[in-house]
Amino acid sequence: MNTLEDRLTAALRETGEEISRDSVPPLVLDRPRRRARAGDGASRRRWMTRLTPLAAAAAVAAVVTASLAISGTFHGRLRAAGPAAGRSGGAPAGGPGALRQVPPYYVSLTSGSNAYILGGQRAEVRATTTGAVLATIRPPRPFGAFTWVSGASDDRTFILAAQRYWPVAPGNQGAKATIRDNGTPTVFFRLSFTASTRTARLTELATAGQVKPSQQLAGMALSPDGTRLALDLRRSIQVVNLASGTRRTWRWPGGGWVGNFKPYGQVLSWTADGRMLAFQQWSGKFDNTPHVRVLDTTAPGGSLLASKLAVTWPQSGAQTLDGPVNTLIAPDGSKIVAPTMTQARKAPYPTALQITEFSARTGKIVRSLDPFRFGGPGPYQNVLWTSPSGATVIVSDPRGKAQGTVPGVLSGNRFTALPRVPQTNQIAW
Amino acid sequence: MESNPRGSAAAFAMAEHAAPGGYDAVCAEEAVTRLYEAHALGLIRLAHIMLGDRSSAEDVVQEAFCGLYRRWSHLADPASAVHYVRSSVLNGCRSVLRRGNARRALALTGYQPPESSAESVALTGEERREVTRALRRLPQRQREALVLRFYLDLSAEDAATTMGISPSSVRSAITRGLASLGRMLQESS
Repeated sequence: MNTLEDRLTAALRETGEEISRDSVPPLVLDRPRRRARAGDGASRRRWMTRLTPLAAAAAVAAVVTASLAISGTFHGRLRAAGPAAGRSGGAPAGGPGALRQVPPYYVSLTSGSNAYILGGQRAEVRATTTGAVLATIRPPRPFGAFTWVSGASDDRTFILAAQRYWPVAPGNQGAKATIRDNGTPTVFFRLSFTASTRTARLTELATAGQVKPSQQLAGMALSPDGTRLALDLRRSIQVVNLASGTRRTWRWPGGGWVGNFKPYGQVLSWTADGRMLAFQQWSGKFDNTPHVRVLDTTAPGGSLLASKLAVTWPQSGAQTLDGPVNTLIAPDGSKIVAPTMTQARKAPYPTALQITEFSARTGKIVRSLDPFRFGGPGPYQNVLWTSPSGATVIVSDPRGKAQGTVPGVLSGNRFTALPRVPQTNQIAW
Repeated sequence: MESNPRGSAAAFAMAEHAAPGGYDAVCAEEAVTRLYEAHALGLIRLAHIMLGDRSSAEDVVQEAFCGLYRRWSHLADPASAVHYVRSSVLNGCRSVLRRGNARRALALTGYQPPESSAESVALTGEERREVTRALRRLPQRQREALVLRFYLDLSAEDAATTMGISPSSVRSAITRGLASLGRMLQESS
């Protein structure tokens, strides 16, 4: 430090760096204008004193309102599904350290108020440990929505599917024409996230081509090395080489379908070596018997019957797979992780939910974690990510809210909720 | 080590790039949020340097962005939003200091010495304390000019825009501020 300027610059930098990047609080734009000015601790305390009774009253009102809302749902089919009906279980709460056992960034597709959008108007890159939004990306014109997202294992490469208009769930035919159109092709973009600068770059993948609406894209999964993209086309699976654009196709010759109806996460999953691809296959019969099969993608294309049947339901104890849920293969290929359900056949149809690991070799149950019990039909659990061995998973759990689910890390049968996860129906690590 | 205290130009450019369609296509909330993501760290650090108090610094920056959000529709040029919010932060710091919190805010807080030898720790900490203490004894205009010039690395023209004075006044304030700072440091040593 020779000059005065150098000494000043160094002192200022050191002082500034007392504030770390991770400690920046979120922006709250809707908070009211304060009369108490910034830094006025005395007036802040004064206001807090005045507001405490109001806050207490508001809390009581909120509890009463929530109780009424919950009791209101009991008049319908979900009457017995609430906490009052004996909801119990779920893994005990874990510590924040669990959040560091999973990839540090994820991408979620989020929307405005249009609940029937099966995707999002924007993609947000968020920090797993804090939920902070690190980058926000919108589909370039003329595309209006991202519909699927999947990530590579490097935690910075994601693939986004985009369509021109909103895909709409069945039953929303009355929606405006601009949001009703599900008849446009799907195109693919690569999202490259740079953590050091918190920036994201979007590149259109011309080699991936387009998926026509008639092909019914029902899910996709990026291989761990980011070079290949698997597409679920309901009656077939395509694996596209993103460098050359070449593709292999395997068709399902029987009845039923491949994949699931828009689960909260990825419908296909890869082993770490990028060779095996796990997928759901539903029989299409009255009982909708589901299976998980594992396809060797290094083999020539052809029939999906060449894939190995890994797990089939129902298992012993009437345990089955139900609803729009994911099933993931652990990257080491040893296990299939699935959210399973056991429902009694007699009223009030008590339901047990759990995250179950199956041996990929024998199809038998290895262990069950995170059990929930409801007095009737309950909400869904889901599995969103697994560690290489399946020992740590990210799941969404029906805990903490009267309705809806909470994503969190399940490790050692302890559940740690992820902070500030947005309302989304597509998320990827 | 965060090497670029401005933390802004590249991030801001990329944030714009990350949203095809740019400012015209996004609503005020998203634009301000994106601006916050790109600049909050640098501005909180700036306010922290000016105030010496972290929570006050965060409040000032929050208020500045809330003000920007409220006035977004009146902003003639969205590209000037960074200058606007930086000026707001400086104004907010002045208000905090003016209201008699200066003595409390100027207290040095929370410094964690680097892991090194005891001697260098003592020297480094003392050096920084001396410089910071001297800086905070300067008149407001000189202090702001020095921080904008030597922390944010702004040109005299950009600092003038932020401070709402002429570039020549900024240069003059820097010259006088450095001279006073040198005298104070010499006296203390």
